[in-house]
Amino acid sequence: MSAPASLTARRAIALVARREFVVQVVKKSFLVSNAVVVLAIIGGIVAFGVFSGDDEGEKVGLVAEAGALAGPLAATGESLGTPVDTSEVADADEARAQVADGDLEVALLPAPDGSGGVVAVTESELEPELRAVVETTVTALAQRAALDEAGVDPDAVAARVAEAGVRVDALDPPEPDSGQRTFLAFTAVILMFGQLIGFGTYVAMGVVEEKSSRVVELLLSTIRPLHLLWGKILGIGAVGLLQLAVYGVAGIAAGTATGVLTVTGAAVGVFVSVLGWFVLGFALFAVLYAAAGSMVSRQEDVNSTTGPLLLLILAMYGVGFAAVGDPDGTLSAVLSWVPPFSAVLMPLRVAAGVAPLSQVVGTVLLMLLVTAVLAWGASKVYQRSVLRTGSQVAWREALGLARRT
Amino acid sequence: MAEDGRGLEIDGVSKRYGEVTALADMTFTVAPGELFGFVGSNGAGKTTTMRIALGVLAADAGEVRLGGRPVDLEVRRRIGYMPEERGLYPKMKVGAQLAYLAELHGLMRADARAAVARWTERLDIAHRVDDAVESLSLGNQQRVQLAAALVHDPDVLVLDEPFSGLDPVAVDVMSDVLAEKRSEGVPVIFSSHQLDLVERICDRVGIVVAGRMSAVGTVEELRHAGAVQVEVHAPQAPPGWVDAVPGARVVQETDGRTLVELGPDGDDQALLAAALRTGPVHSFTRRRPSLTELFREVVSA
Repeated sequence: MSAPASLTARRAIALVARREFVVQVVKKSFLVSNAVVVLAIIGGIVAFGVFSGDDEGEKVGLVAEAGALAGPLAATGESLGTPVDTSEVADADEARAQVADGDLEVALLPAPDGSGGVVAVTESELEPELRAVVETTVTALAQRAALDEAGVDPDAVAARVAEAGVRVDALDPPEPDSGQRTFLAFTAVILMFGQLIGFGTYVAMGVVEEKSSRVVELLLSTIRPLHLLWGKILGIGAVGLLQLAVYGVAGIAAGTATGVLTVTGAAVGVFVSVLGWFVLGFALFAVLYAAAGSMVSRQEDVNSTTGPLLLLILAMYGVGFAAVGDPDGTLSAVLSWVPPFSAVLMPLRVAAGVAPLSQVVGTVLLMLLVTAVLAWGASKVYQRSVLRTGSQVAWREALGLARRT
Repeated sequence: MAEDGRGLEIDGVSKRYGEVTALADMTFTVAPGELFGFVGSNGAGKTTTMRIALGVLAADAGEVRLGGRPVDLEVRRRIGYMPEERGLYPKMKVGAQLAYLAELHGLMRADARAAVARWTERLDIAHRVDDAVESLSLGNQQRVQLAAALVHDPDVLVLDEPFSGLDPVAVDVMSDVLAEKRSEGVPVIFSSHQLDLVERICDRVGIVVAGRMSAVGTVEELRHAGAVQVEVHAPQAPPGWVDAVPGARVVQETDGRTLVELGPDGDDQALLAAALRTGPVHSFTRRRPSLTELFREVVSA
C-alpha cells in the first residue's frame, strides 16, 4: 500500500505548528505557572480593590447632637477628596471604646460647653485631611448659624462667596483617569517585555532541542527548513497569544468586577493593541531567535547567540519605562515609529490615548516591512546553520559572508 | 516504485569538505527487493552517502535516483531513514512522536495512528507508546527509531548502522523486518560494522574505502574475486614443496599444514598434484575468505 506522499506546504507548516502548540500547552510546568499567574492577577486586583477602599471613607462616629453633622460631613468630605463614612454611636464611652479598637478613625462628641463645637476623640492624632473636613464642616455650620442669627440669608452669602472662587487654567490638564491609564500603559510594557523574551526564548530553545537531539535530520528529510521554521514560530506564537489573552481577560474581568477598573473601554483598547503588537513584535523577534538558536548545538550555548536580542528587548523595555511617565514626549513620539521599539511604545501610547489612527497604521506597516526583511535574512541563517553540528557557527558563515568551499 | 526494476541508484556522487574529499564518484545501485550491506572503515563515506541520498546534505556532483527519478523532496518522503546520529524528540511520547513523523511523511491522521499501532506492536514497544522517548532504554529507543523509519510504509529503506547497540533479540527482530521489507520488493540499504551479520543477511555488499566504492557484489562474487586460498594437510611435505607450483605462494606453514594462496594464474589441480608427490594428503581444502578478511584486504590495499 504505497500511499501518495503528498504534503502541501500548508499542511507541513500546520503539522509542525500543531505539534509545537500541543507540546507547549500540555507541559505541566506551563500549566502550573500560568494558573499561578492568573490567580495572582485576580488576587492582586481583588486585594487592591479591598485595601484601596475607594468606596469606603474614613470612619467617623457621631455621638448625640453631633449626629446632625452626618450630611454636611459627607458633602464636605466629598468636595475635599477625603470621603467620610459616618455612623451614629450611642454614647461617649462607646465611642471611645470603638476608637481604641480601631473601628473608628475619630469620634465626634458635642462640646460640653454647649458652644456648638465638637470634641474629636482619636487614637493618637487627627490626620490633617480628616481634620480639615471636620473643621470646615463645623466652622461652616457655625457661620451659617451666626449669619442666621444676624438676620442675613446664609444661602445668599454662600452664593456670593462661591463667585469669588479660584478658577484653574491648566496648560497641560491631566487626562481623566490618568492614574488608571498610566497603570494600563505600565502593564502593557511589562507584558510585552515578558512575552517577547519568554516566547522568543522558547523558539530558540526549540530550535536547539531539534539540533541537539538530531531529530532535525529526520525532519528535514521530509519537510523543507522554512516549513519547519514557520511552523515552529506559528505554534509557539499561538501559545504566547493565548497566554496573553487569558491574562488580559482575567485582569479586565477582575478589574471591572471589583470596580478597580472604571475605564473599561480604554482597557479593552489597550488589551487589543497589546495582542496585535505582540503578534508583530513576536514575528520580528521569533525569526531572529530561531536564527540565533540554529547557530549553536547545545542548550547551554544558546545564550551566547541570543544575548544581543535580549539586550535589544531590554533597551525596548527601558525606553518603554521611561515613556510611561510621558507617553506623548519627544522620546516616545520619535521612537514609536522605529521598529522594534514601536512594539512596546505603541500599546503604551494607545493606553495613554495619544496615538492617532494614522500613526497606528503607519507604524504597523513599517513594522511589517522590517519584519519581512529580517525574516528573509534570518531564514537564510537558519537554513545555513540548522544542520551544522559541533562548534558554534561563526557569524560570518551564518550570514553567508564566508567564502563557500 | 519498485516495479520498474531500477531501485535506488547512486550515480557518480562526489562531496568535498574544503581540502578533504569525502566522496569521489560514488556509484552503485540497490535493486528492488535487494538487501544491500554498506561496509567500510569509519570516515570512509558511508554516512555522507546516505545523508546525500536523503537530501540532508548537498552533493557537489552526481545524482541519486529512485525508480529512475531524481530524488527530490516528494520522492524523499517515500524513503524510510534511520540517521547515524539517532534523532527523536526526547520528551515527546513515543506514540505521538511516531504519528507526527508519519504525518510529516504524508499520511493522514487516522492512517498514521493505525501505522503506529501496527509497527509498535511488531517491534514490541506497544506498551511504551505513552512514555517519553527519553525514559526508554537505549535498545528500545533504537526500536522506536526503526519504527520512525518504517511507520510511513516507505518505498526504500536507508538505515545507517541500524544494528549498533541492539541486544541479540533486537538484532533478530531487526533482521526479520529487513527481510520482510525485502520480500515486499523494497530496496534496503544499511551500513554496519558487524561484518558477520552483513555476510549472513545481505544479498549484495559494497565496501567503501576513502570515499570510493572499492568492491561491490554478492558475498560469493567478492570471495571469488579475491585470491584463492587452499589449506593442504600433507604431513610428509618438505619445506619449500610449493615453490615449484606456478602462481602459488605460502601464507603460513605449521606442522604439515600449509596455507597456500593461488594467484590469478595459479591452478589448484597443479598444487594438488605437487602435494601428492610429497606423500599422503589428508586434506585439501579450498578456503573462502570471510567478509572480514576480504574487508581487511580491500581496506589495506
